[in-house]
Amino acid sequence: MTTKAEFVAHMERIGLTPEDHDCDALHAAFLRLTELCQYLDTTESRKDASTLLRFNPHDAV
Amino acid sequence: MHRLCSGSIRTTRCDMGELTDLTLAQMSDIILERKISAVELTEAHIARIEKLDPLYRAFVHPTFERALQMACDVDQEMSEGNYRGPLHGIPIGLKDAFDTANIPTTVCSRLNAGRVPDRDAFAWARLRDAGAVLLGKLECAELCLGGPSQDRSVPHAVNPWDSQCYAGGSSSGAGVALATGMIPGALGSDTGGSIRIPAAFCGIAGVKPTYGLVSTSGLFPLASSLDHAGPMARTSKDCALLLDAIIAHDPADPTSVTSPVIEVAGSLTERLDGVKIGYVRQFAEHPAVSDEVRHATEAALAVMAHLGAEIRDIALPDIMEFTLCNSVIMMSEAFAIHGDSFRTRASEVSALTRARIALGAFIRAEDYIRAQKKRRELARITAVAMKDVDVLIYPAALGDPPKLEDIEPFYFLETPLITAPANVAGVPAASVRTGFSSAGLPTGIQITGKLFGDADVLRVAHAFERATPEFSRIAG
Repeated sequence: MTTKAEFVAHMERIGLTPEDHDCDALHAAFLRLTELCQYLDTTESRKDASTLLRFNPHDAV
Repeated sequence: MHRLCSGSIRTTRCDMGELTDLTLAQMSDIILERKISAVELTEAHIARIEKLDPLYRAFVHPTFERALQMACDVDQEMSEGNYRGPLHGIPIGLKDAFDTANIPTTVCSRLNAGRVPDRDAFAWARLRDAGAVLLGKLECAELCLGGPSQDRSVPHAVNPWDSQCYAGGSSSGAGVALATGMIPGALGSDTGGSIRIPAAFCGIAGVKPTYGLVSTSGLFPLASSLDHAGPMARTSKDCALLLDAIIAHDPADPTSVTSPVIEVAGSLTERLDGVKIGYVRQFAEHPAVSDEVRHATEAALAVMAHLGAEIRDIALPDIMEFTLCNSVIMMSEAFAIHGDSFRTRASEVSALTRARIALGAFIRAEDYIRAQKKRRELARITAVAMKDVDVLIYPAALGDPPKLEDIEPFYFLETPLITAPANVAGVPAASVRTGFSSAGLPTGIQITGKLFGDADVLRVAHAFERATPEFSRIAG
């Protein structure tokens, strides 16, 4: 979604109406956010089972 | 005596100046001493609201008749010798995100027009049972995520220190109503700073408690893994009295801690001997922080040192790491809540709120999960950094409240959200006033504690406030 056209096409695919939004501003924010997401890296391995997010089935009952 | 009252209530108005200028704790004392009735106190606040709210627009759903009936009930109970505690007969307001039975709760959004809950939010029910009197629902940012858009269905509350400046959000109505003496206490909610930012911009006190300490049942969600309910008042002591009343386990809230054994108001002192304070200098010296705010923070630290505290520098990860982590989680979870509405009714949402929530639609699941893992890492680093201190100090805001026309929908992508660290780490944090800038606008600091160190936070806040009474002013 590096181009605005791709971005708007994606908006429509997920059910959002482009006319309801400032697509230029939203696309620019999306690109900036994507760039910033590099800072979400952690020292944890993505594949280390001990660091995965957990689900406690006891919470569900 | 109000026409609704049927009991015999003796009241003797003492010479105390403007009733509404008193702190919540002072009001509590004179209620207990029967120097004033709950009805008189309520009527005084209603009169002030009727005088000032047309200017400041803090209330969206006043509940005056109901308040007077509640006050009558308080007076009746007290005349029978039944005193429930320090909140008995105290008028309060609630951010319009807290459910109130048979009272509209719209979170200031057209999407919720006509919404009238049939149950009270847990935190409000705790205050109600403690004898608090509800004066009404308070304006907030639409859906708790947005700002003073001109296209809102509800006009934004006006900063009483400068009407051209933002009052802070999202609990803006609470900040404005407290700063102007329209109420002595309120409940707000805080997902990225929504209690502490309006507290800082309005010159009052606000507390985001430890995550899970106060139930969020019946609080309209923004991002449930970051949402907190908490007190706002003109002083930290008043916040402590409110906080003590709302701390309780709630089986209906899966995040509610099961054994909340914290007593806050009884821990307040006027000295800080033995208290170890970490100064997060890197936050205060961030280029986005104004010189005036940094100087006010350092002046506050000097006062705390004079009160006996030991000050040392503490380093935390870059503030933008906290900001990004908070923002990715908040927008993802917010869109998960509002996605359906946004597919059919987005045009009914005001511009700032619409932009921020819509961005959540484009965050990848991979990045949301990375943000949650990052959050765990940041929380762990924060806990290790605080091992040898009781609280951290850093600014509550970057500078003066921004001008209304300067508020950008995506400011957090470029500038730090200095309140985010406490939400990310789940630790308690208060915003406390530190005086006024050269423009006459309030400045504030944050006091951040360890998990369940809420009493330490309020102890430091209270001692600082007691040592700096010149900073306590009522606007309007």
